[in-house]
Amino acid sequence: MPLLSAKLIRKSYKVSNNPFKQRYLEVLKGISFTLNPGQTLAVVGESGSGKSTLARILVGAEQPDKGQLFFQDKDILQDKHFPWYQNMRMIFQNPATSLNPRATILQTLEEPLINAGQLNHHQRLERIAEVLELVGLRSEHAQRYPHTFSGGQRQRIAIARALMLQPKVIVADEPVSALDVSVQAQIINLLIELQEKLELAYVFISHDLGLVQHFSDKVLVMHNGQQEEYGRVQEVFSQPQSSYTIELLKASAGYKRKS
Amino acid sequence: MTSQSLKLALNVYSHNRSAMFGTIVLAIVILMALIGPWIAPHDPAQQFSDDILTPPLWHSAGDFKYFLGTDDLGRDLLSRILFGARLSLKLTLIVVFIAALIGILLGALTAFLSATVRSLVMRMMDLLLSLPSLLLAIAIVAVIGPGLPNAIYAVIIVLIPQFVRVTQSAISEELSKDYVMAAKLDGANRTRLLFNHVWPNIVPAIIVQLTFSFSTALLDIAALGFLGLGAQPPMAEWGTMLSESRAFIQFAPWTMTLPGLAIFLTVLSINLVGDGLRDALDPRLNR
Repeated sequence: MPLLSAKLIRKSYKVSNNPFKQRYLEVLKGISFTLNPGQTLAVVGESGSGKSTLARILVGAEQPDKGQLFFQDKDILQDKHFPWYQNMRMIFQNPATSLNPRATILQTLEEPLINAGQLNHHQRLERIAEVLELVGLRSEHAQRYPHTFSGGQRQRIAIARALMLQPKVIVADEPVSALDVSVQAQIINLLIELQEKLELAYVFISHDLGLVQHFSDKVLVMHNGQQEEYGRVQEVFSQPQSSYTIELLKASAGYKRKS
Repeated sequence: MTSQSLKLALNVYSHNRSAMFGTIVLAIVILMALIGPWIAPHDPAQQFSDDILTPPLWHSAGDFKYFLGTDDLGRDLLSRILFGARLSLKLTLIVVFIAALIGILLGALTAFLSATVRSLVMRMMDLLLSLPSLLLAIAIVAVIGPGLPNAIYAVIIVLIPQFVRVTQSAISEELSKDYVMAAKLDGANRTRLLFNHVWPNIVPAIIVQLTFSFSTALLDIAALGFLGLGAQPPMAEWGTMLSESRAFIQFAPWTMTLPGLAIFLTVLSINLVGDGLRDALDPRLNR
């Protein structure tokens, strides 16, 4: 049984406010995939291909126009009271902007726990210390403000926030592309380690094909909102079917080696 | 705000020389205003008809009885300035407090409105903002009649749109940031989002606006007094004092210079304090 499955997700935005000449831009033109527990689905494509819109739909920040989204066999788009934030969490691209500059790490990490309302103050502090340790930080760090941390540490904090409520799915929107190359590997290794420990399923949005090949089980190639290709990583990378995927792979190879 | 971050902010503030200068001057002004009635040598309205236009003490013709000299009716300037400080600060405080309360509430409310209503409210504020504040205040007083209470209403009305504008633009700027989206995805509702996450981030902008409004209000009240639309003689008010002594600037310059200096120093110190607060409250500067 897949943990999460999307069926023909469509989304368009109104691009003109003129009531006589309404124009729409189709951002997602029917995206489908399935994701099993503990697996990683990579979503690749160039800027403007609709990757981030898909990510926002998957965490409940936006509603698609059409399509279905099943989480543990429940159609969650029909369920008005589905607690998205307890099941699917997002890691943003840039931790410098995704952490509230005027909140301590404690306040930031406490937010989802307060909203879920299951723990008392003491239990919340315990949970925060536990998760901070899980992402490689110390519990003393909770008293500090985001600007006192390095980029890599901040992304660890963002990951900790995503883990607070023990979600099943984590949507990571280019989680390392805003970081120094030297810490990118550390964060990726942390994500892999957490996946093994907690049986997390990742939707990993990226344009680093080398990383995708190394890191994921399935891959979804998007181009202008269209689903160009979807399948197991080995198959897509060794026998790409669509011309766009072939182009993408070539471009990536040319960039990597200049021999 | 935690005590730790407050300590950091205080540390930054106390190392800011111009802010400390402003604080000291402002503290002296406030102290003078508070204890004015007890240290003033004379009644501010009492006329010593034998000693009209006595120069200040440091002048060769100065008199020990009148430290800062007297005006054309023989009233003691020091006493009038002290009582004027009391009046000006009290009025400014009331005006800014009411204007800020209404303006911030309105500005925050727009965050809950639909885009159409919000833009309607904001266009109305733009309309008010497009008029020079003093001109608008004069127009309002001209309609509702001169006098101190009406001048206060006028200055309040003039100040409100600035608070609405600052609050609304600060909120809408913050709402588009990633950390707000993150908090939304943490399950925070709109009220919680606004008060727990956005509000602490817009406080510095509002504090700067507050200090700016303090000086605007002080100047506008004085200007209305100067034009004869605000405080009426014989009330000891700095702007009114300026206008009363206008005719004597040639041969008794202290009658105009001293109240003018009082206005200048007070406004300057408020602005310096505002700048210092803005720098101190920005956590990115706390190293």
